[in-house]
Amino acid sequence: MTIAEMVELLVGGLAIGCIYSLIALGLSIIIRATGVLNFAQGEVVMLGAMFGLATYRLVPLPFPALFVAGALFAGVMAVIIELLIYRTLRVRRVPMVNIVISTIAMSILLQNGAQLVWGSEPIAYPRLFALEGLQLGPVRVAPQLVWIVVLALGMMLALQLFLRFTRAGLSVQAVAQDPEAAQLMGINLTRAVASTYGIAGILGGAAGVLLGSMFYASFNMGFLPGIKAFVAATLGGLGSIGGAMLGGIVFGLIETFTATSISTAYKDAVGMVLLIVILLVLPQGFAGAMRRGR
Amino acid sequence: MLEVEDLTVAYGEIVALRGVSFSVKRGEIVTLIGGNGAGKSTLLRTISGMTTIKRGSISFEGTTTSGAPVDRVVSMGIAHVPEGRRVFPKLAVEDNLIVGAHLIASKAQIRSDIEGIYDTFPRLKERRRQLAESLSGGEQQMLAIGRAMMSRPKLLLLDEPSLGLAPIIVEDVARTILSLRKRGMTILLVEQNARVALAIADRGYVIENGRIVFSNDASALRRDPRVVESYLGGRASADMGRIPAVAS
Ligand SMILES: Nc1ncnc2c1ncn2[C@@H]1O[C@H](COP(=O)(O)OP(=O)(O)OP(=O)(O)O)[C@@H](O)[C@H]1O
Ligand SMILES: [Mg+2]
Repeated sequence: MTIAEMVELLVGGLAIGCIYSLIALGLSIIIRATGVLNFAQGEVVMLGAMFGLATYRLVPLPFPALFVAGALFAGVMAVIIELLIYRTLRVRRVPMVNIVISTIAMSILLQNGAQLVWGSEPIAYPRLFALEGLQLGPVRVAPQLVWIVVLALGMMLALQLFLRFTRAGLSVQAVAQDPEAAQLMGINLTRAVASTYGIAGILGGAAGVLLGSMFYASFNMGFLPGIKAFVAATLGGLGSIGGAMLGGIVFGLIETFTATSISTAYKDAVGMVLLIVILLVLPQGFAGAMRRGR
Repeated sequence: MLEVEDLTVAYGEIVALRGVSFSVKRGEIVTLIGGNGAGKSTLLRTISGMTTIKRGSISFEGTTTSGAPVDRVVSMGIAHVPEGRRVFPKLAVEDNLIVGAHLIASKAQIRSDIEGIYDTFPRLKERRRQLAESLSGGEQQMLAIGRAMMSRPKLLLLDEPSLGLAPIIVEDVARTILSLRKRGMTILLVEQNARVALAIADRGYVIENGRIVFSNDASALRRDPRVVESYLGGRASADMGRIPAVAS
């Protein structure tokens, strides 16, 4: 492998890794706020991709605008699903497991719904980027990958700023740390949890537009990335924000490099082997390992 | 200001409060003393709207609050410092205060209220950027009280603020409560530590097994043989020597 090929792979791995990070972040904030493993997060990703595409067909906007449209639509959908279904279950005080199972049902339902609306055939994203590679010294990088990395990292930065420096962000954190105490501050839990789903939806939808632009959009495109994001989040330490970001990127890189050095056919299996290994040797993920190191 | 009437609360089969009635008048410090499992926390949680009422009613400044959601109760002017402090461990001290002001719209007001809290608790100002989990128990209690004050309440509910604190720190907390009252706050204090509670309160109620068994002025309760026997370790006034020092 030449240096140039190496760098190209690295950027590709980074791009897909950033996408996993965005999905994993959504999973993590939902786990922190409600304890729910949201198996429908992958379908929120799919909705973002589909809506980004639908928007383009309506008005051929430039990529960043599609990115925002897909993200916002997915966010709204996530809030609707939370208020309509998960909240209703919570209010009835059903056991947590039942809510998790309902997210699996939601995942299947959304896939079927999307199949009905958009058909079973994968739909290619329009060519939104120059094909000409960006020449960086001896290395050539696809502009699309650069866009993906920049938009995804921008999104993660925005999330951090929101959580740390806005009152709404601090409230979201407070609810995650101690919902009961947060309630005593006058925070409305229903609204706080709905906004958490909304933020997770925005992150997922953004990931969907990026993923769609890299490959294609299809009704089941979110399923496997959703599962892989779980691996990424576990790798980083389930529920940790920094861990989800790092876990996604590391997972994307590992997957990309094993695909080229071993075989593309076993790429997905490698990820799952990785999950089992992490659970065995590093059950708390990166975040846990760092805490222990301190 | 606060009227609780015939309040009955149950957790499934377990009845935690059985027909509790009492009142708090503006400017008072009222204490409820009782042992483990007497129903003290349940009572405060019910006033805040965290549990559902089986029978009875609660009204605050003439408005019925029973059945209202927690955020509504907070916005009416009741702040609750929960048992065990419950500060947000991974938020900085100052961010805890900001979250406490959730219902306050004006940023300028929040800013000046935070400065007010720092004047009362200089230790919090020194540690404003530290995570709340890194504070000592006493500092966390101060933060929990400060955080509750951020909603600009008229009535402060305190659930065992002395819990797990060294005696000298408990005196600090007691002094803080007195200084809050001096500035016009009305306080309902729930305690197992009857010694401190009766030293700073105007009136007290004794709660056992979900029932109020008797009540009186705090000074009278301090000498009441039933209180001395069960809540002051059987040793009467000799041990109460320190109390006036706290009260002054
Ligand atoms: N969430 C709950 N579910 C079931 N029972 C509860 C619950 N919370 C409290 N109880 C029961 O209600 C009764 C009153 O509890 P409560 O916490 O109000 O007592 P307390 O006076 O605050 O005690 P402590 O001094 O130990 O804090 C106890 O018998 C307790 O076991
Ligand atoms: Mg209690």
